[in-house]
Amino acid sequence: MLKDDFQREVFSHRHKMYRFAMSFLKNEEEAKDIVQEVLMKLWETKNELSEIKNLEAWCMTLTRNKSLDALKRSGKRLNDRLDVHHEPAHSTSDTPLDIVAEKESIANVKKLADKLPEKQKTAFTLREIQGYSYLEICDIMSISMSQCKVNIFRARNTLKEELTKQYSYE
Amino acid sequence: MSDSQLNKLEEKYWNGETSLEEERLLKNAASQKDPALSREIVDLFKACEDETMELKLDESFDQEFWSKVEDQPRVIKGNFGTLNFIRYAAAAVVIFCLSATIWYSLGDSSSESQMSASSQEKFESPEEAFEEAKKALSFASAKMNKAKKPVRKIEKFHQATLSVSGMD
Repeated sequence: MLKDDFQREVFSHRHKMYRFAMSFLKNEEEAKDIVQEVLMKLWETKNELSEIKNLEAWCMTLTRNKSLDALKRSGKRLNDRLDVHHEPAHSTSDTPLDIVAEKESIANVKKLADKLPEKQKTAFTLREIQGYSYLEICDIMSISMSQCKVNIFRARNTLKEELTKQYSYE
Repeated sequence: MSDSQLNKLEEKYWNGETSLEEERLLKNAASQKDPALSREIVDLFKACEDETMELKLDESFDQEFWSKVEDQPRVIKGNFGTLNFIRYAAAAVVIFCLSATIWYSLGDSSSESQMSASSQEKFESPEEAFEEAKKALSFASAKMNKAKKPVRKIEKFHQATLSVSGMD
């Protein structure tokens, strides 16, 4: 595989890989290192990449495995990590109160999502954030279609129930 | 999309039955805070969108990666060259051993026969030697002519095959 092919077929997925690594690690530097490590590994084996059916799925699988290894090494669990808050984009018509409320609600959902079991969280992230099809998620996670659907169904419903519970107290 | 359609779609979503396209429609409606949708789904999509929008690697990552890659080929080439050298060396050793074995096993018998022939065939005069050489050459020539026959047959067969297949 030439540099141009590598850039088009592998390197172009770096942002997705980064977001995926971030969903595990919650640390920008660590996530960046993981993506670089994975890309470097893929570059070193670029001549064998033509044998891989779905390169994007392969990139994501490696990112997941490396991220989980890094978590294991650091001795932390998936939902132990501190949450990273990003400033969401706001429309100019939003009042400061709206902005604060929106920031809080986003942080709240992310916190709840982080509490999901690893497989549910991974499947949920791949579907909702990365926009993968069920088939691609099966490929990335090496699970069956039914397992994939069950994980996503459970993740969505856990989040829904938690949010409903919270909103009923308000 | 009507409110009831959106409600049905939301129900489908929670049941894990929506397609990516339907989810895109739902996300679109949620981004406009459509009142037909529940607060739960709007907040959920908002959080997901936030994660997608905000997290991107900057240009320094690209530069750092490609500069590392630029340094890499020499290392890879070296490793690859060493590996190849080992492979070729191993193949050469195997071929050498095989050919040496064959050479010695054949060489022994032929040298023995040569030895015996040379010891038996000692000629008294040059005429006698010339006669013997002539005999040997005509024998070799006869064998060669004999070997030519099947080659000619094969050639004929090849020509016939070509003409049948219309290539000639």
